[in-house]
Amino acid sequence: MSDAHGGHAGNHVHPNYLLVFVGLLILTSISFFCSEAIGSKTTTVLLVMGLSSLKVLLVAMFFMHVKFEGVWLYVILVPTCVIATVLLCVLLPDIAKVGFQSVISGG
Amino acid sequence: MSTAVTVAHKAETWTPPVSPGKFAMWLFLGTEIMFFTALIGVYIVLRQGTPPLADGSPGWPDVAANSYPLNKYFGGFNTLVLICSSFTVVMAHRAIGEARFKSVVNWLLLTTLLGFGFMGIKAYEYRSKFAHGIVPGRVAQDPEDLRARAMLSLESSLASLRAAGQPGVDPAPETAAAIGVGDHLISALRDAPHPDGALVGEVLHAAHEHPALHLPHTMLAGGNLWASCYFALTGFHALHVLGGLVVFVGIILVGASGSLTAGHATLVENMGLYWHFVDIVWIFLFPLLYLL
Repeated sequence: MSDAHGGHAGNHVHPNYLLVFVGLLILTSISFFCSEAIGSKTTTVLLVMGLSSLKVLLVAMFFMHVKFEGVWLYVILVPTCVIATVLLCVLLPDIAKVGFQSVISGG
Repeated sequence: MSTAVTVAHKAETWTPPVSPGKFAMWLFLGTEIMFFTALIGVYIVLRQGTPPLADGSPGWPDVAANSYPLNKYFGGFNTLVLICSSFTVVMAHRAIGEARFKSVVNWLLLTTLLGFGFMGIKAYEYRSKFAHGIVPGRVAQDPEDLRARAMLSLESSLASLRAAGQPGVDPAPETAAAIGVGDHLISALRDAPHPDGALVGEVLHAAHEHPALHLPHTMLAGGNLWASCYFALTGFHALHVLGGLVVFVGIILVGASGSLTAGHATLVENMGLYWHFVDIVWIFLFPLLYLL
């Protein structure tokens, strides 16, 4: 599945990139066609965004070598991703507020 | 004494886990994550927060409707192009680690071609939006908005067309036709208690047939806000693609001159990281804009 070599850029593990590439193509095809095939909007959103997250995970872990890097990278990535997620979560009440307004205005 | 020697020895042999350049690149990517999360977050809030219209129809362009301004096949093809370019750039990274410099140039050349392919499709999409008047602030939101915009345009356009003609000389046939259609529309719009579907269709048809009238080309609920979001999200992404392509061309030129060495490995790796991040952003933008 993977091999390693030394070089000026440091020691790198090289997974089977072709396999990752094929995986990305398959996931893209599924999300493309599932966006029409699934009836419920919520199910479609969850499925398509879930597949996109899986694709991001594949790119980050294998193409960007996050899987093979040390703790130092997680020190950068984890707080960034947590703050980014919190940012989205604190925006959610704004979304809910419109629904609330339409309820009180009878819309 | 012995401890001091050991510490000194460790200090001499210790090396940082990564190059400063790679560390800086990851810090930069951290700021980029925040930047694009904010952009995407604002898009979600605006989209979900837009209430439906009074008649219950969606207040935001519906991706399943024929009137939706984007073609998912273009978006899907661009996704394919960026995924392929992610694969080619990681192969370039692998090649430079194995000192196969000719191979590095070939893989990066392929990456650059794919990147320009992405930009070409994006340019075609942008051109189509401009041609249909889907530009922030220029989209009519509903029939009443269309009437107000059309009346304003017609008054100024007809005045300009008439002023441009010379006294005693008949205007050119296309100008005369535009003036005739404009006069008919302005009275129809003024007299109609509420612009119906037929009148709306007439205005939109005239917008394409007589550009001199400067009529609104499109009527789309939430179209202006949608266009702002679309151009902001894809525009910033395209700028990132362009930045990456400039550096790739530079590396290819160095490689073509035979000056590429193992010393460039960190540069290729960092540019690969950057390019993968650009791919990741598109992986989220594609479903949000084209599929859902």
